[in-house]
Formats: sequence, structure tokens, C-alpha cells
Amino acid sequence: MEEKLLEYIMINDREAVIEQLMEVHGQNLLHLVYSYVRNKELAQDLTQEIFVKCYQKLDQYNQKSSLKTWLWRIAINHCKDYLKSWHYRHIVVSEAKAMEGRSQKEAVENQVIQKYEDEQLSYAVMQLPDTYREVIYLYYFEDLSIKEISYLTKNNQNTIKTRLKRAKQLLKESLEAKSHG
Amino acid sequence: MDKRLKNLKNALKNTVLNDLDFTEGMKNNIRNQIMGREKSSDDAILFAVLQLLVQQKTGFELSRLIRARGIERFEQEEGFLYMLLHRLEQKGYIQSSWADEEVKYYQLNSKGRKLLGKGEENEYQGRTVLHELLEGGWG
Repeated sequence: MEEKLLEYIMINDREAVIEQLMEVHGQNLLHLVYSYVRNKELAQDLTQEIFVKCYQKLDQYNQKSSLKTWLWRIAINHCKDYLKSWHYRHIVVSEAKAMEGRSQKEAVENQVIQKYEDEQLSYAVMQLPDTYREVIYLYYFEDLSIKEISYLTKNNQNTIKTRLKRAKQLLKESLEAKSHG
Repeated sequence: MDKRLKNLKNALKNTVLNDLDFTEGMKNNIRNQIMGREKSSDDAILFAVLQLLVQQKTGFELSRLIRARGIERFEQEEGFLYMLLHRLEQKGYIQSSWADEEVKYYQLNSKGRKLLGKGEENEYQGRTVLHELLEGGWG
């Protein structure tokens, strides 16, 4: 797969590269973006922008990392820039916030225990502050190593380890508070 | 906590990510944007060339000035500029003259200035008429 892509780049068929990337990574990328912005429509918009950005930057890909890693880094930067933007901080109400009421109510009504637990966990993760949610998602959802996360997020490995630990602590507290309250 | 997080993948997929799919519609949007951008960069080059040739310039000067405007595409495709100049000359939008039998100067003539004027008008409307005036494609 990866080799094929490089071949495409060499003949400079950027459209074909993007087609392949969309095919193979589109779905995962969309989910990654959602984990940052917590809003479906927004995640869809940003994902489209990210692919267009990759298309424009494709000639800067230096093959030092895998194409997927390169794509992920662009995506993560793009999401973070968006979260820092004026528009986001002032206008957008995240679905996670809107989910607050709904998730608890539905969860209570939900008879299937697994589903209930899934919702609780998802909700707790989505409520984490950005930096903690990021490491949890990359580590447990994407199965990335500390080293890979460190490269993708441009933080050193100890920072990632500390954040993971703290994130788990926060999750635990939040889930316990739920089950007692 | 660790044990519970091992299930995060399923948990998210069963809940918040449940109906979040990368659709064919999204792919098409991306394709359209990619193609749209290519086209607008063609127009940007053509427009820049016309604006710069209100005063006479050599091809070399022109390529330097276009690059200074941040039109990246030129860095790989120098030949593209000469093709464009040739085409504009053939269509009678610019005239060229030789100085010292070594340097060729290009400048807009009256037909070219009209084209530039139309381009400036249409720029406000966000249209890509310059392209059409050259009958599409770069030949």
C-alpha cells in the first residue's frame, strides 16, 4: 500500500494519492477529528479541509515518516488551530456539552448494560479537557505507542506519560462520581 | 481503569461515532475543491501576467515578479510562463519586441488592456472568465 503510494507521488499524480488516502484513512481520520472537536458536522468539514490541505502540501512530504503519520500530524495541527480560533471559542457549542443532559437520561432508560457502560465511558472521555482527551484517544483508540504520540503531538514522552496517568485519574473520578450520584 | 479503557474502541464506535461516516459526498466535496483550486491558480497566474505587463518586461523579470507574488506553481513550471506568453501573443493580447537582438520584451496592447479590465471586473464576481477568454486549457 505505502509503496504504491510513493510510486504515485513519483509520477506526480497527486489526485490519485488523495484518492487512495481517502479510501484507506478517510473514516479513521474523521473519527480522529471528531475526538478533537466533538461535533459531527464540524468534524466532517474539517476532515474535508484536511484532505485539501494534504493535497496542497503533498510535494513537501519527505518520506521520513509514513504517509499516515504525516497525514495524522497535519490533521492534529489543523484541529488544534481550529480549537484555538476565535470562531470556535465564541460560536460553537460542542455536542459533548449538549450530550450532557441527553446521555444521562438515555443511559438511565437504557436497559442494555453494555450500552450503558459504553455511553458512560464515551461520555467521560469526551468530557476530558483537550490535552487529556487527546492522549486517551491516541493511546487507547488508535493503539499508538507513547513514542508515536510524542511525535504526533510534538510533546516529549514524559509529558505524554504524565498526561495519560492524570487522564486516567480524571476518568476514574468522573465515572465513580456518576455511579454514586 | 485500564481494563475499562481497553474497551474504548468499541465504546466510542457504539455511541458517539456510531453514525459518523466518511461518505461519498464528502469525497466529492474534496475532489471538487481540489480541482477548483487548480483552476483558480491558473487564473491567478494569467491575471498576474496581465497586470505586470501593463509596463514592458522580459520573461525573466516577469517570472521573478510572479514568484514574488507567492504563486508557487511557477517554481516548477517555468516553461508554462513562456507557453502562456506565446499564446497571449498569438491571440493578440500582447506584443513583443527585441532589444539588442538578445532580450525580448513583452507588453500589453490595447486588446490586452481590455482583457485585463474585464478580468478585474469579474474578479469581484468571483468568476473565472479570463480562463474562458483564452478558450480554456493552455494548449
